[in-house]
Amino acid sequence: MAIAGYVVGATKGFIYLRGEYKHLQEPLQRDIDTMRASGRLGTSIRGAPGFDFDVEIHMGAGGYVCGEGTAQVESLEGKPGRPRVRPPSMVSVGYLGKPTVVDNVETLAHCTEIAVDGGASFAKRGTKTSTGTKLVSVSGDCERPGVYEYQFGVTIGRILQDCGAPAAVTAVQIGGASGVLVTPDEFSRRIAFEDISTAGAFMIFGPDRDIFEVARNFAHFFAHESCGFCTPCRVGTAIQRNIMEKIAEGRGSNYEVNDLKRLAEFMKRTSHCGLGETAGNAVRDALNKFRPAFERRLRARDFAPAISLEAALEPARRITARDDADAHLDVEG
Amino acid sequence: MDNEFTIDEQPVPFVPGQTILEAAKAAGYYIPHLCFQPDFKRHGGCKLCTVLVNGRTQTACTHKAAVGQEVDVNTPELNAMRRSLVQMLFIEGNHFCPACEKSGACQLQALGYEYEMMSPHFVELYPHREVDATHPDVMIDFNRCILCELCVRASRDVDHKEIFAVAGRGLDAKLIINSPTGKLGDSAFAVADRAAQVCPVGAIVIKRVGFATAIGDRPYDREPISAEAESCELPEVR
Amino acid sequence: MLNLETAAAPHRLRRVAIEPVSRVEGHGKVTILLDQENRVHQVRLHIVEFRGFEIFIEGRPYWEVPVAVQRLCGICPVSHLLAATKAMDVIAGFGPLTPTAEKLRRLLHYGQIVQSHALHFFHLSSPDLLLGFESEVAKRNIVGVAAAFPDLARQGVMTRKFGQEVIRHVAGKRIHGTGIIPGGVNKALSVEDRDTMRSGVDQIVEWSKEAVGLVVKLHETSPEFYRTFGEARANMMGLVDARGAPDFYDGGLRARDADGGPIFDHVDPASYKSLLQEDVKNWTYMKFPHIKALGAEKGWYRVGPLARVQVCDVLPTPLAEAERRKFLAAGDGKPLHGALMYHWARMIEMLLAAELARGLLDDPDIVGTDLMADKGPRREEAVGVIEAPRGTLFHHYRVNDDDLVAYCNLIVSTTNNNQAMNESIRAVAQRFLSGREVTEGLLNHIEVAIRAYDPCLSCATHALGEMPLEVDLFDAEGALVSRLRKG
Repeated sequence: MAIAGYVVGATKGFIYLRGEYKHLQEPLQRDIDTMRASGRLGTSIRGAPGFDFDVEIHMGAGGYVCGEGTAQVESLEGKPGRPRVRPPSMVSVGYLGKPTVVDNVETLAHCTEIAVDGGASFAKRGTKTSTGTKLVSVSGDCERPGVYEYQFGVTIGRILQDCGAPAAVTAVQIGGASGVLVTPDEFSRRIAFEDISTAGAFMIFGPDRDIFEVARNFAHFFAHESCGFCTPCRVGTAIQRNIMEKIAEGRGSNYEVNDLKRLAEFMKRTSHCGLGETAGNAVRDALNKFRPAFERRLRARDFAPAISLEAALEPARRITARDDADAHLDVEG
Repeated sequence: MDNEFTIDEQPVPFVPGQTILEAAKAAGYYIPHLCFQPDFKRHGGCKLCTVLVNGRTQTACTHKAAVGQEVDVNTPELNAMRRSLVQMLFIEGNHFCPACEKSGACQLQALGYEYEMMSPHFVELYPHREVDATHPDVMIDFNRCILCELCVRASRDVDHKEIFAVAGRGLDAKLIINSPTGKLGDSAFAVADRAAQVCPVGAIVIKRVGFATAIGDRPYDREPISAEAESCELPEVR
Repeated sequence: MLNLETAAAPHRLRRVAIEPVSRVEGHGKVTILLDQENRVHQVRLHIVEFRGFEIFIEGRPYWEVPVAVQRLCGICPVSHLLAATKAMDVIAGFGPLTPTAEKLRRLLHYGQIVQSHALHFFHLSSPDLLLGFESEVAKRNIVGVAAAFPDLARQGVMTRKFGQEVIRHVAGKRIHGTGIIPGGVNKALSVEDRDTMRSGVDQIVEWSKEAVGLVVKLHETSPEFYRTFGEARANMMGLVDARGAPDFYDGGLRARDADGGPIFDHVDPASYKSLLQEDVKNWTYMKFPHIKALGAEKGWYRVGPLARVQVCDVLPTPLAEAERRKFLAAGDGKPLHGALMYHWARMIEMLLAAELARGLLDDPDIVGTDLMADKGPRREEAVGVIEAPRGTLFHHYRVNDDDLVAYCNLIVSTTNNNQAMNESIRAVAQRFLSGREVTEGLLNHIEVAIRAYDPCLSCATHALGEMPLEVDLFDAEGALVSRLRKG
């Protein structure tokens, strides 16, 4: 971060630590103090005149949307974590209106690597268009969950093998709740910007997992994490959750399934930020790739009306004293 | 040709710094909106003004006009999207137009007509919300709040009182009042405040004057909301 | 009073249910208990009045109430709009209305009485009266009347339309308008609209007069039957002005007993709670109001047209007054209590309302522009009372300092008539059903009696097409003996 500060001419850096990682605050602070004591932070770093940079830890209250750069800066300013309207971008108007660089720890760590070993060395790893390495955070149904570092271009199959995933994995969610759901026939695909790009989350669902329940869980997640700023995400994520609940209760039909698809597309096109844009992805992927998991819960293929149309015609038949074939519906509606 | 872009293939001039919505308004071209009013800082939350800029969806109230931009506004797809947005706002709160004093003057209702909302489409959420009538002259019916934050901005930027804020997230997001009790009557709010005049729906209403305008004389009895595209005073370009 | 409310040994009797008796918002039914010889032992009209309004109006701002509560009804919403606004005039602290405002409100109300009475008589009840109680069910509706009596049906439809147009001109909409607000009205009547109404009103007066003539003619076909069908001797109540003429919009409460003797007179309606008491019974959701001083047994009363033309001393317009005198003559100087007499009284009232409307349209004040009364201090509580087409309507509110409603009590016309309606159908059941095989036509006799009181009850049965009506006959063990289906 100090290097990044040196490059852009900044003297102040923040580590935004969300509330869930409070336990890291103390060791992190110790490390910062150590660095300061050893002249790697503060004024005239390493004796270089004018190289002034210091770091402060800022605790956030948590919130998925605060992973979005502009929402994080809002939170840093002490406001609710809501994404800003762009443009202007962070590099021109950021923290307290000043130009700001917002990056992941992983990116900044790579900066050090490049500064020490040079760009050519970094570019040797990975693929042509995705150079370097990627941290993959493996969780879910496997023997050895944890953070793995791979060269870009690694296949999903390889990662599954390394972490001791079961043979019959149902699916992998890559990139977190907003990411993509990948099925076994796609396990030869690669982690890379040109194939599946991800911030690193890698969630494994074993053979016994019900993908409908996975999607339902994600639907709840987004309804909970929506910041509420824009209409499509605030209301859309709640509607998505409610429809998933209706299907879960066995009261759904293809109408609801199609509404979910419409909703995902709608949120993608109208939402204010990435959270809303991707809030329908998990449900949509589950629908496209695990349709039977939904279908076995549906009450009707096309539409399940609240009333029986055939039964509703009974009073009319009675009044008109008719009971011939034309007075009945062909199929029970 | 300089400082010109197109809306639905018609040339529209603009002043550098203007948003698409401002330029469109100035040119008499209607783009719907709920959370935008020319006097206030841009917000961009309601998404009614979503347009296509060179094929990408953008909010016209925040997106700057630029030379040569091709903007689509009045297309069946965009209008269907706007209808869904209006439907979402309707089902999110408790909007009982038949007994609402804002009927005929309500922008949400007018947009429902404009975008041919014949049903709510989505299942109503029927939230339980209270009425705050503690202020002697102004009432807030939270059932009708659409979180446009116009009152927040008016109170903060014009009245310099900061009476309102939005707290909570997702569906729990709600308008809160800056007073010891959280009630409007204990705040510094006054009926003459700009914030008392800006509500586009029937959430913040002046007491005891409801229904004073006869049916037929209400703004949207006379002409639809899309007829409002007369030139507006341009805000200072920031 | 027939002693048919509660049978002595109900478990030994067979039960016949007419369900639904098509009615105002909700369900109504008539249950009849018969013994082995089909003798009637118990008859009850059960009505689930939709009273949710009293609860959900609590916590709402008072100026919203008139517009909200008029949604109680789609037939005479103006009644609720007016009664609630009258209460809110007081609560908001307004003084006396301006002449223009009061006259516009009255014009609106008279327009509503014309449309409601026309609707009730022509669309809903005339099929029974013109085609016969036991005529072919499929044709026993307004379409059947239109086929058999095209000119008459047209007059009925046009008369109703005139009333609705009056409502539209004053309130902005034919149904659920907003013209009336606490303190006055929100819009002056344009000269053009006034002229439009004025040019049509003479015809409406004329047709209303013909409508009275039609009822008289029907009555003359069988005077005894008309006079005694569904007869229930009842006290009568209505609003009257200082002269003793009926006042649909305002006035004091007057009650007379079944023989026409005075019970109370010119009482301020705001004190209704000291005059009337509402009782509950375990077999119906609808309350039973009665005159407190007389007790529940003797204190029940009738409201609406039949009561109003008989509690007054005079009608204030010449044509209607002449008809009232003919009406009184039919009773040989004694009050009339037959259910069908309601229709006669109702048509006299329609004529009265048309004449009153004509008078207002000739009054220059009606196009005045002074619409709002002066305002004084806010008050906490008020009662608004009017004569709705179907009878006396009470709206009672308390409003807190924050302008939100804290309490609401409504006594609607149908509730006022509850006991009287029960008594009328008991009389019909006793006379026509007892000891006979139950048929659809006989059951319709009961509905004819109910219909005479309350147009909302009859509207569903005489909707185009037909409401399903099913009568189940159970034996003493509760097993189904026979099922009779209407249609």
